[in-house]
Amino acid sequence: MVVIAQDIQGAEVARPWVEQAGGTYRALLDQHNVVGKAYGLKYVPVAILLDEAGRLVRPVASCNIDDEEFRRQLQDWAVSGQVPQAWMEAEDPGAAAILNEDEAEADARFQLALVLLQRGKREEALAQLRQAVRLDPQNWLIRKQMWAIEAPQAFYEGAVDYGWQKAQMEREKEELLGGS
Amino acid sequence: MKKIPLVLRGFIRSCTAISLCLALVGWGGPAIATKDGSMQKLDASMAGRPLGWTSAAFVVDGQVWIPVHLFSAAVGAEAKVPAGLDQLAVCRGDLCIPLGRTQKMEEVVYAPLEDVAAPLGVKGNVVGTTLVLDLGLKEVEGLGVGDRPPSFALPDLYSGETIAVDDFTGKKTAFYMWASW
Repeated sequence: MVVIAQDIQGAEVARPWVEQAGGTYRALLDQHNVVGKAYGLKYVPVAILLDEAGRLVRPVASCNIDDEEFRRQLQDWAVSGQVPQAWMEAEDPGAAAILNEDEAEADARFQLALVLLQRGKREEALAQLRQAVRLDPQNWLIRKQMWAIEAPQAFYEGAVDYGWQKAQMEREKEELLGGS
Repeated sequence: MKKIPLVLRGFIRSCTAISLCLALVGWGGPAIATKDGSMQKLDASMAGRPLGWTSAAFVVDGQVWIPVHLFSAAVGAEAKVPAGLDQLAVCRGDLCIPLGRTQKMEEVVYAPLEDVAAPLGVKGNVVGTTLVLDLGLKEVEGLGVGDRPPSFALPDLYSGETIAVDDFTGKKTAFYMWASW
């Protein structure tokens, strides 16, 4: 088991969660959205399950680690090596799509935002992220990371505030995405 | 009469020349002997990466011998004694290949590569002093079952050490993408 944190804000925001979970697994940090970009993914959580020869045994897709059935399938595969029928039959997402122009610019602005954040320029970083979201509004890896910087209280103080997220989406519809 | 293993018979024959006999014994335990005395240890690699085997494969009389457990792990198989069989076998899925010719050296079981490679669809070529293994997989890069997904390398969340997907070759691995937000 290897967990990969998709956190532009770095190890400091990710580590407490790994520690709280008491995980003994390997934990990696993907600050630059390397995996999201290479795999054409725009959300988490996602599972990438590989056999001994490095081949996928389940299509790369979202997963719910709390789902009993998924846990059972994972356990069965880990023990027996037999790939669960449901995984074999799941839809093949094909190859990772190449970024279109807007997505590529959104990614470039995301990378710039990371550098600005590391230099303590929070406002400039947020400005880049807002432009990135305008270009690629369905990319939740970018959009929610922007939210986490804009409103840390809605993410890092107690339970995640989904009411805030819903309200924020409404606000952005008008202010950021021009009513689209 | 108990059959003397082929290799052991070769050893006895080789020992007619005393110096050669000593050389073979000196190699480290019950050595596999050769007609002409040449034994070459091999590095092993797969998909362009060294496998770093702690017990080296070797070639003797043109025959490549592989450490059974390390080889099995590398090619996604398992070395075990299957139920109903009192013999070590290399198994993958429903397929089990019983190992008729094995040799133990320093507690490591070796078998000839040719006995297991073809049934598993593995090709092995000796290039210089390296055993190059090829799984003969369809090299389809994709996100579906049976595909190889894009590779990546990322820093460890604590040590910063770079960890690559390929570092987990030989093990079943679950990568789980998550975030703090």
